Amino acid sequence: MAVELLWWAGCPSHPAVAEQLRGLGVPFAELEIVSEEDAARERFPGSPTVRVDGVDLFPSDEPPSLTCRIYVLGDGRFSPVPDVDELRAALLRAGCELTST
Amino acid sequence: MALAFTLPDTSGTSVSLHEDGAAAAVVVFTCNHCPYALAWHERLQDVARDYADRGVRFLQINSNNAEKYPRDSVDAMRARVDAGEFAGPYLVDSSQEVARAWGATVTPDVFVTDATGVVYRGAPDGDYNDPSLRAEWLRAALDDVLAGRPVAAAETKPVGCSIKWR
Repeated sequence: MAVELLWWAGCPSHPAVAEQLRGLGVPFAELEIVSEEDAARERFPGSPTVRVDGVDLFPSDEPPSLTCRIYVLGDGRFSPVPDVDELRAALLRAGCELTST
Repeated sequence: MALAFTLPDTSGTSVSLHEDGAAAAVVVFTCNHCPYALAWHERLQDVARDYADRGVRFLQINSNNAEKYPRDSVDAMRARVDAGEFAGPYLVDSSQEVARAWGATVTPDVFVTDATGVVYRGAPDGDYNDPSLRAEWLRAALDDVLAGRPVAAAETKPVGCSIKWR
């Protein structure tokens, strides 16, 4: 499985998600989104975005944009990063093998 | 003195920074589409309500480029105000002049002013993800101002989404 972390430098959220992925033991590649053209080409709804084999782990109908992505936690709070338990569950559903839980 | 401004709220009524009788004013650059601003939002509204009867004005300003980020349009701002999400005026800085003049960089970017000028600038507290912190850095600054003391921690690092400039 190819796990990708897509991020945009105008948003400070992606190091936290990179840390989540490392904590779950998931190898991943990073792809920096630099321009609006990049965002459109990659169908990038905001930073950070995690994809497995090209599929967004948290499907969104937001248009491509250079922006911070909004995640909604299990208790309804807004967050710039996904809940780590939801990230773990999404990775498992996508068929990823986690070497750490 | 802090840089004066007059901006329209979401109904078009002009609101100014300075108002007779106010002991202090909080100015928060915020917006609709940033997860950091949303994560801290309720904590900031609690501060607005808790200090309203102590002479603290609480003004929230959206300076983002709404043409590129439609979630920050005046209509979208008004919808949130109408839904009761704001405990004070939500002001429209469509020219972005106020954000530039104040040196705001992210949302949320919090400033506290008194008669002498800006006495605190930074984040509401140390963790957007921990509501129990209750915007403690902002509250401490206001408590210092209201007690007539110098603000002990006058600057922290604002954390959030970059303001979307034109």
